[in-house]
Amino acid sequence: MLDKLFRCGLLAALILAVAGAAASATELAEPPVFASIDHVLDLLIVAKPEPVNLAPFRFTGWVYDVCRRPAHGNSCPSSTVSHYGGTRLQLAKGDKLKIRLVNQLPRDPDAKHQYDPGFEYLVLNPTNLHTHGMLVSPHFPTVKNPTYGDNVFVFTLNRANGPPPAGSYLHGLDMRYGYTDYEIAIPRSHPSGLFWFHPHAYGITLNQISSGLAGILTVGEPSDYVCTTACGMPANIPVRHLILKDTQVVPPHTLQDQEDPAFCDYQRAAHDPLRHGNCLSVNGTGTGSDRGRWFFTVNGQQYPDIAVRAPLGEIWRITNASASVTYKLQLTNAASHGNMLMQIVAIDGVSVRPNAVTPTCPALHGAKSNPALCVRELVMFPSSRVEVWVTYRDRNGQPVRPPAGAAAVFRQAGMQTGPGGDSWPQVDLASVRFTSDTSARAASSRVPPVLTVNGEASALGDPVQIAKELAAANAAFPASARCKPLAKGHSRRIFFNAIPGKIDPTPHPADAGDQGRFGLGYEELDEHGQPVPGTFVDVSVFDFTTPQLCLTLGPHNTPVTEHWELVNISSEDHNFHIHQTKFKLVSQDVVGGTTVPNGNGVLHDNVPVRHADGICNSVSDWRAGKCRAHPVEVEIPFSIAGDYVYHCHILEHEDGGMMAHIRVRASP
Amino acid sequence: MTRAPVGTGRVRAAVILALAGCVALSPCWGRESGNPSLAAIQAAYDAAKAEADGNHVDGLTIRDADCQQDRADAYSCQITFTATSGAEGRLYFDVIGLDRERTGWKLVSGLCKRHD
Repeated sequence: MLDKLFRCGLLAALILAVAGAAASATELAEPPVFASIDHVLDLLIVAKPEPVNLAPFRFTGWVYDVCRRPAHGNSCPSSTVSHYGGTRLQLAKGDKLKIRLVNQLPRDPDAKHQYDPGFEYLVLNPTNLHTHGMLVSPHFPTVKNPTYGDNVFVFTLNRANGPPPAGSYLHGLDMRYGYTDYEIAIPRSHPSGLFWFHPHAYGITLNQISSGLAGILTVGEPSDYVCTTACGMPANIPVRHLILKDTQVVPPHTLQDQEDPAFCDYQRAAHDPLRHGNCLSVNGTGTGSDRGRWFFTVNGQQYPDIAVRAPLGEIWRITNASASVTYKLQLTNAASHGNMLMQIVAIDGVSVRPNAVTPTCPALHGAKSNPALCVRELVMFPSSRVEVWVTYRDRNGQPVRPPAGAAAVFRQAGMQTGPGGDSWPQVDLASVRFTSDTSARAASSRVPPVLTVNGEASALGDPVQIAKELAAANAAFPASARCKPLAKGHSRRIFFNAIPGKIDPTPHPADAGDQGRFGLGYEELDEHGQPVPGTFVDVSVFDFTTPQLCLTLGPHNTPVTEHWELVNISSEDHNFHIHQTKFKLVSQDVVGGTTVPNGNGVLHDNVPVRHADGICNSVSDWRAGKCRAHPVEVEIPFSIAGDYVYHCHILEHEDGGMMAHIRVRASP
Repeated sequence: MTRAPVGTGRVRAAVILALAGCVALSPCWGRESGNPSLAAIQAAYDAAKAEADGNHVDGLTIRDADCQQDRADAYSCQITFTATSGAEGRLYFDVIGLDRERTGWKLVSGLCKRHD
């Protein structure tokens, strides 16, 4: 009898344990973290294929094995957990990030740009690494220091994939076998915030990011810029990292790395299951196994649970790590179906410093004396990061203890990017439960309606200190007679457009609807806003060897600030991203997709550029008024010398040529 | 009759063994065997540049190479080099293809225009 009871008890315990494990498996887990030690983070990162489970599929994704650099060899220990969802590298200002990147990726027969003349080598799946948003040097290797900085002009090949085809003459970048060493010094005056790392191999970046290759970088802590105890808040507001990735999988278990923007319908069909972390492909019928799924994960998890203790709430650090998807994020109250208020704390890795002219959070007591940015939805183009304070609020927006069962859905509301653009599907990303924080800490604290943010954006608008700290690295890019500063009062205009008539001789099936080629154009404007004769460069695809722009730093290598006008004359939205700097919007700002007056308290490293109204096949059409563009004016401080790029971060567009090479040289 | 000095037989055997080894290791008798040397790669680049097809710039000096045989007479190498047009001390890397021909090595891919 006792034996029977024992067995039943054991069985019950086992069931409970399994149930508990299942329940905990749906809780959103933080990404694995590697933190610097004694101001150095020395890692081995291996890009490799790895099984990924996203029910009902088990497919081979591409992931980063991350481990502390072993004394010997280019492999992480077998116990290393490869994480499709992404790893977090935790750094502090003044740290040094050392990475040996090893390419163990398989050949990629799906990469469509291998069919572009001169790019046949892309089938070999070369890769590299970019520390997105970081203000660091893109140095090249030298005899004294054979490492690279945040430099995208180097590709690493997996030797097992064979050599480049005979006749490959790849101009303008370094090519290596096996591995590449990076050494990235983070200035002490670098902003605290959220950044990310991802491959940046022109022509195949979309494929690699869609397959899972991305992680995040954090510098410092939110407490560096969020006022806590001095402002009546507990010392440590919980912080959560959310890495948004998406991957398309088709039966039986095959990852489709050349993503199809029309894989799913925009909205769920009535007979389809709820879109909890995925949507069913338009190909196939019913809900059976003949339909593929487009997974939209948070930290690699499908529709996880997030428990938020209120009223203290949490700071969510959100990264759009998608290759191409633009998210319109909402936190929808399950009871009222209204979108909940979120306070923006930081954008693109820089904490905000709103001022009186920036709209404050509505209907909050004391908000006038404490300017803040609040939104009810966040539009995040690919690569953007936003940090928001999430808590439960009453109908007046006041943080309160939540009622029992308070819940919300964190959702992608769907986003359409213009008549010639894409319709990114609606998908629910996570369920959110608000629980009442009854801790003594919470009880003793009066939670204010908005956090006080001591943002760094204003100070970084003129990054003099960063230029000083990088003086030696900048000097390695000596002045060139071909690089000249922009004349006083002049500015630059960048055109975005698809390239009509550029026919791919061997079109890939994923090209359906377009020819897959995009480009950027350029002209200089004089002090009256008129084009300077002889400066116009028509919209053209990226060229490694030919910088579209060449400029010099200011006297004694001080930062030089330029005024750029971004003009999108195509029928779909793009977003502008530039390496090695941050910029501010001149006449107006875009916060979470909402246009607001510019308070100079926000910096970006990417910004949407809305599609034109009407049809323009060329810049001439635009000059003739055949379409109306919606230019975005930005002020860009350049403080870092080197060769880098600016581009659209919708990677279908970037890989298709919508990128340009900029060269910044030390002052004469 | 002259007797061979003591040890001559061993020398002859060693020579025969060495020749046999050379034949066995060299896929094509009469050509260079083994991986291309730095000098051979430099010569292949110099020859390719002399063709003036626009694929190669002047002034590249090969400093290091790590080669492997991909197919019979076809090798690929990761090379490290410097360029007279580059910044002082700047190192460049490339993966190049080399074919072994009767007259020496021929550059079939890589070693192209660089950044300055």
